[in-house]
Amino acid sequence: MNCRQALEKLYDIIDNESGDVDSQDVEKHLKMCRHCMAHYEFERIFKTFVVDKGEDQVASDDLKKNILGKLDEIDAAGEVGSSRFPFSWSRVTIASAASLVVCLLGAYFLSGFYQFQTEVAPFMEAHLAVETEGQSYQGRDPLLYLKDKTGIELNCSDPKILESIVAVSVDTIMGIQFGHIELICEGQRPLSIFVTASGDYQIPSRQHETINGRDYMVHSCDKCNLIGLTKGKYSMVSISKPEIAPSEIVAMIGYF
Amino acid sequence: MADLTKKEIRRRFEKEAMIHVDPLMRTARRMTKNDSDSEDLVQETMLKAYRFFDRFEKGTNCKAWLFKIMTNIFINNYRSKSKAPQSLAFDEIDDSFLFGQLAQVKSVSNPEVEFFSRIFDDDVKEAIGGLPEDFRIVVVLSFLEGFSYQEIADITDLQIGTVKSRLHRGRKLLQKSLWDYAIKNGFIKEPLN
Ligand SMILES: [Zn+2]
Repeated sequence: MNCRQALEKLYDIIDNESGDVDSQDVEKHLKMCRHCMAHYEFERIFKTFVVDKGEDQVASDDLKKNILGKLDEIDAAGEVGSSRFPFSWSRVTIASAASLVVCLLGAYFLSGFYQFQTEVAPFMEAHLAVETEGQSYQGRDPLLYLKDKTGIELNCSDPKILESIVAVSVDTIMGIQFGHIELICEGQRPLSIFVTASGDYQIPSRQHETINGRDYMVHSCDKCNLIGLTKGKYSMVSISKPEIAPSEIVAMIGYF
Repeated sequence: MADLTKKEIRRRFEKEAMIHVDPLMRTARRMTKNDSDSEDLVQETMLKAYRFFDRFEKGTNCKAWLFKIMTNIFINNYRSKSKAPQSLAFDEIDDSFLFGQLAQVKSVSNPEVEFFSRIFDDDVKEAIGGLPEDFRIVVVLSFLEGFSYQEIADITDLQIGTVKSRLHRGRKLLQKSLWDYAIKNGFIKEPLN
């Protein structure tokens, strides 16, 4: 590692964002290079300086009292759970979506871990979904929205299932376009369904399992459950935390 | 919803969400730069979060979730309507700007110590407040609230690469602004190039 490479990793290390391998490489360089070491020390001190001096003291007792008062009003009006959720939150809540996806798909695509991580970035971006309360999908049917954006036509006649959809987006994974439907199963458990019409994407045929008399590609581990299937001209992959059993996922997909 | 009674939701909300009012308030102030706006913003955030709390998954990152709600509300409702293009001459600022500048200072024996000891809390706060909004939000979430790059990406709906570059630029701008301040107040004499 040279000085330029060490400098590139400098802020990742200061911000505790570098992997072990990178950290070790940089550390090795810092031990040898007095200039980089001085620079590293300086940036670390600068950050600590800003953190210490920049922090605000807030007095929020009155505000908290006000908020609790308003919560009583909401309780009295029975408004909890009455609104449609305004945006996709599974990205925040499925602890580090990246590791989940890597765990899920990495094994199947057989690409290098790091390459995959960068390829998968669009998966976590580009949420074209709902911005504000009451204006979900620009006030339109989520599946119509999906059709507009991707040409993928799914149908679902169960309003309860439609209501559980919190976001629809278009994600490109490994260069293949997927429609991404995020829904919340009963008990606040998020489930993602990826659909593609691309013939380039084949459901990887590794572990098969028969569920309700049909054959599915299934991956289960302590981080996730993944089910792949072909439905007409579409390939579908659904991803969830392990708490949603494969049979339940199959039942959910069955609604579409 | 089935297994969560309303009382249970309220109890959980008070336990898991209310504790984040102070950090939300700190960041709201940095976002709006106005005390009464920031109180409104935090209150709106908490009420919205409460209405949706039955959809919030137990054991997941409540703080990041609340910050995401707040950032959304801020961007949609509070952010200055005329979003003037932010033309900034970043390229003038070198990657190791402050470190490099201080290294050239000859007028005092230890310019780094001089620099850090003569700049006070309010100066730093003002410098943060002076950052363009896009950079300010990312710097505040990272420096002052300690969120990871990934959490900031989730909160702001930005790509992680964008988060990193905004943070990088924000850091440089902050250094430049504090350097200019130190020069202006005569703490440090500008090195002759
Ligand atoms: Zn070096």
